[in-house]
Amino acid sequence: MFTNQKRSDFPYNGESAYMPVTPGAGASSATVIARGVKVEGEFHSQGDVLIEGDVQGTISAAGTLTVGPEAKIQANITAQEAIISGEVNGNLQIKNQAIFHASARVKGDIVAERITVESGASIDGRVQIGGGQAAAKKDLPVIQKEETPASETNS
Amino acid sequence: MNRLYAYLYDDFLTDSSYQRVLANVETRCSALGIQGRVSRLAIFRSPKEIVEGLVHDGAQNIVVVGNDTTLQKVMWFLPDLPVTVGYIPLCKPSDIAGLLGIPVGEAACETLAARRVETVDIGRINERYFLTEVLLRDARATVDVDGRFRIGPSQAGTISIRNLGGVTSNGLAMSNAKDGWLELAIQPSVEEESPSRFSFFKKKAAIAEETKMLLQNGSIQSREPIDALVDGHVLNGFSFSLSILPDKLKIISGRNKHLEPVEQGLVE
Repeated sequence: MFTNQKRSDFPYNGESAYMPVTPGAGASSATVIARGVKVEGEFHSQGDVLIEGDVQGTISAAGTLTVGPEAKIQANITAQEAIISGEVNGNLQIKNQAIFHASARVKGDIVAERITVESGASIDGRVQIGGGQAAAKKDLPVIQKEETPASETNS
Repeated sequence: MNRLYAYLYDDFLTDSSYQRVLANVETRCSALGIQGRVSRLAIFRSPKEIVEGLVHDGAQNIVVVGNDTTLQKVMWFLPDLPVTVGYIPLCKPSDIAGLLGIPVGEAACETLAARRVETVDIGRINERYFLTEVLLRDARATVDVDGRFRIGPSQAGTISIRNLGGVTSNGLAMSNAKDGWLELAIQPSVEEESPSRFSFFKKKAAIAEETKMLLQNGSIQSREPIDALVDGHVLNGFSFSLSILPDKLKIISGRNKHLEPVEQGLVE
């Protein structure tokens, strides 16, 4: 009935936030879209991005895009690197490496220089390995899905 | 009397319990050669008119004496004036003093005299300036970032737009008042289901993760009127415009200031 969690366990209690801080206390530099938060539109970041919430539209990240296991993405994605553990409905254009963890569920085409797919991951779409750098240089538009039935790859 | 300095006392300092520390401050400032004209804030006196009068009489340094609330009473118009802001905190709340590296009490006079001037960014919500943050509690609102995307809690949540200060979900420092960006933080509130069949025991709890990103321009939109706590002052409305004015305010800080605590990623 009662929670055992102490008030001090809540890192942020919604009160005024301008409190003294420890210098060099090292907060992460990544942009974070946490669980329970929704984004709609053209989302762009010059750094790393961690997404645990919902995103609809387009995503571009100059750094590493990490999609958490509870994230739901309905967007075309361009990024330097991608680590996918959640649900993505959209095409991915990754300049370097794309990693798909076992919980990843992707419906869309993938272009990346290197791809790692864990056992259990689901990819429904075309996969092009080695095209990430070239696509980035040519600034190619994100691949449109073809009419042909999508194939599913489980490795 | 140093004409370049003017002191703005909060009205609560008329309480007899502050007479001794005020006397000490005035003695200390006099010894340091930075004593100046004193004006007092009062309920029926416009702080803006008081400060503009001091500036008209030649003051180039406006020293706010009181606490963080005193500073917040004048911050909404100070950035437009050609002055450097000093701060002597005499009691709590003094969190802003901590960020500026200014000790509480008469020791702040030494910091004032050392005159380490920092130029910091100032946030703007509608036509009002803010130094620290805009806070919307339990709000069902979205933030439009640069007209390109909207972000908000799926249900209700606490939305903060910070310029100075702030903590991460890990309790670490975040905001940077010298980088030309505002920091947006969103903490959704969620209904935590309990085994009880009584809704009374369904506890509302803040989840641990915090959304954070940077922005330079944007707006807050809500279908219902909401209260925005701006530097401790409440604004009410459906929509608020947001922007950052880089290097807008000159303020005297101490050696142990925390104006740019950590590196940050950028969201354009």
